[in-house]
Amino acid sequence: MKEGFSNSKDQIFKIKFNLEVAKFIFFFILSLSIFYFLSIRFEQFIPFFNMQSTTQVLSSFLTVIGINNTAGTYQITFSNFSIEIVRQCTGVFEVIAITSCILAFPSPIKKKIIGIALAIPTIYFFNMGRLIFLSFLGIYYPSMFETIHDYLLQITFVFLVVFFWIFWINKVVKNEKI
Amino acid sequence: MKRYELINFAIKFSLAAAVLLAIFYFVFPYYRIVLRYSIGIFYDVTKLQSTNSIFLTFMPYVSLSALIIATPKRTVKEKVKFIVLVFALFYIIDISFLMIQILSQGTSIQYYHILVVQDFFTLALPIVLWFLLDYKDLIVQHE
Repeated sequence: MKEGFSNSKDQIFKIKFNLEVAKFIFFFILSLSIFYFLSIRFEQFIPFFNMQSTTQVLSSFLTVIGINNTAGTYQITFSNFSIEIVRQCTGVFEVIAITSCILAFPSPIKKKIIGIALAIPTIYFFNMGRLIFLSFLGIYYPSMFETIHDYLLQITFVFLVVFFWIFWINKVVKNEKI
Repeated sequence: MKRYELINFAIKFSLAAAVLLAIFYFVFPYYRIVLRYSIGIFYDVTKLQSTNSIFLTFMPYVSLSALIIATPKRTVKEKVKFIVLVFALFYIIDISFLMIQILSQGTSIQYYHILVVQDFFTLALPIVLWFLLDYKDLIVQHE
């Protein structure tokens, strides 16, 4: 980067003195903590992103695409294995993370609302796709299930949040017509 | 400010993440040994480590490194510097968390510790640290 930024020595250590950065990080962590606490305390009241709803919707999607399954409250059983839906499977924390990124970023409230309104369904359907993919792996390639679940898809979620965030900044925040 | 080339960013991230995952997959057991020696005073650390790899910051570090590598408008020197700096930070975090994990065994703190590590550190920490590197593009020039 030009404009003297990349040439300045020790610029990484100067970042901490930037007020914009400090404000963003403060509000990001504050928002994250508040929503995180609320999501744990009132998990069963969160529409769509609670464990029971995720289990039922996933089971329905799998049935539609022709994968036989039996759904319990938080568990889906297939012919050769079963998966248990835990809180981390619901995508709620990813929603909290992207919402916090959007809320903490300096932008008008209208653009924040647009961003959050777009982020929630994006995360929801991406997460459903992830769970369907994992179910498919568990049935047909069970040896790969753990590796993909533990490693690849965690990275994918970090990327999704950051990617969506940059997308929102570029397409919504910087769009003067909105 | 020139707009981020999202496709370029996505491709670079995917490639970097794939390479880093492959590297870390082989390097990670040695990293565990280093950690184990670092906090050798706690005898049962080996058992704790082997039960659940998610306690360590392996995954957030991989995703953060991939984000840093994919970031446009930064020199290689800056990226390397930041990755090394972050690795040192993650090493300290790992040691701290392992110590808390050992000390909180059998208490309710352990449960919250797992939640905090799993949720905050796998997702939030990479975002915050990546933002530190890239804030100039995201905020300053946007204004």
